[in-house]
Amino acid sequence: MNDDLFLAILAMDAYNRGYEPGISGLGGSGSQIGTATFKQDDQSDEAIGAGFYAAAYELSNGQKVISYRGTDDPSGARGGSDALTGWFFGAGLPVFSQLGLAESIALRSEHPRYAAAQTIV
Amino acid sequence: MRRIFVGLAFVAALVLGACDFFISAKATFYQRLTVVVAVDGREVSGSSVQKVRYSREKASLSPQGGGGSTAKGEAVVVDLGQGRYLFAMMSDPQGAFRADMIAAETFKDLLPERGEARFKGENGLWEYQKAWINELAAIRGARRPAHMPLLVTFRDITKPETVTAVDPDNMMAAFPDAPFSSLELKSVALEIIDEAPLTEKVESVLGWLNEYRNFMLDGNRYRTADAENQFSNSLTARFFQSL
Repeated sequence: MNDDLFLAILAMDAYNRGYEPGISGLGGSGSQIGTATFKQDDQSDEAIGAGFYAAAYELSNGQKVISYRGTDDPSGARGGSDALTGWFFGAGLPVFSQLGLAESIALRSEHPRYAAAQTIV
Repeated sequence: MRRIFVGLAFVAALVLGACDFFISAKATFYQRLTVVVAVDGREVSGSSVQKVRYSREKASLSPQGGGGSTAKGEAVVVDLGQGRYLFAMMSDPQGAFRADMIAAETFKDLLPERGEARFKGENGLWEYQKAWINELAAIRGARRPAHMPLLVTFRDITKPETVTAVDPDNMMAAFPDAPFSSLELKSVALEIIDEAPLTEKVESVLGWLNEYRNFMLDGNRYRTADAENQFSNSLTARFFQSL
């Protein structure tokens, strides 16, 4: 499979793991998606309160990939508002909570690649 | 810096307002989950009142629109006696049972369908989305839930890492040292009810609960495939109580 396509699939997969998964029953940490192993995620109240979710994967060649959910809750209907906790960070203002959470999970993986979803609802 | 913030907020409000972003519908209802078990033939029960809130935002930046659902409340606590407890969780790590979704799944046959004639026309999707949440909130009645909640107990109630899954078909397997010899699940019921106070019991049983808001029950910050105890690493306080 094309490398970019597989990264896109992992970007989508972040919406189907963790809290409020779009698809239930895909398995917890250690489960497989293609040649990748779902390794870890952030389930904390801090992350949910910030509307943040990221999942880390390990490919069969040992490479790490982190998928970040994009904007799927701009108003905060399900928890933290992406508009308030993430969009200003995207505009270059590093003052809201999604930044620290994104950095924390990235620092736990050595030289990860990123598969950031671009969902805007 | 403050001027930049105000400017950005103003521009965002203009853009989003122009996109119907702020047109939304909300509905709230209350549900009671009740679990009855027989301990050595003696029936004991526990129940929990939970508040569920749905919102829908009119399609603007995507064809489907936005919104979501939340549930506040706590797990059902069944006091089995002699320091043993059974918990029916707010949700499970696999997402099969979710307190915010279970009523919609259980009473699905009473909810409107997109293909109905009343949802034809230009605003059909929006009318359907509004009707769906309003009609769900108006349902009253009790049923067996569409999915079984995750049942757990603790080998030592003071140690969160000792959390253990309870198989509803073989409950005694999770209580090897229990002072009773039979444990049988008699019923699980979900009822949509009028507004009622939310149940507040779980914190008094699980004194450590608030220390695990940002940690898995095995003490890890993250759910990880490297955890020794995968089950305790899959749960946080949120599964017992959603604030």
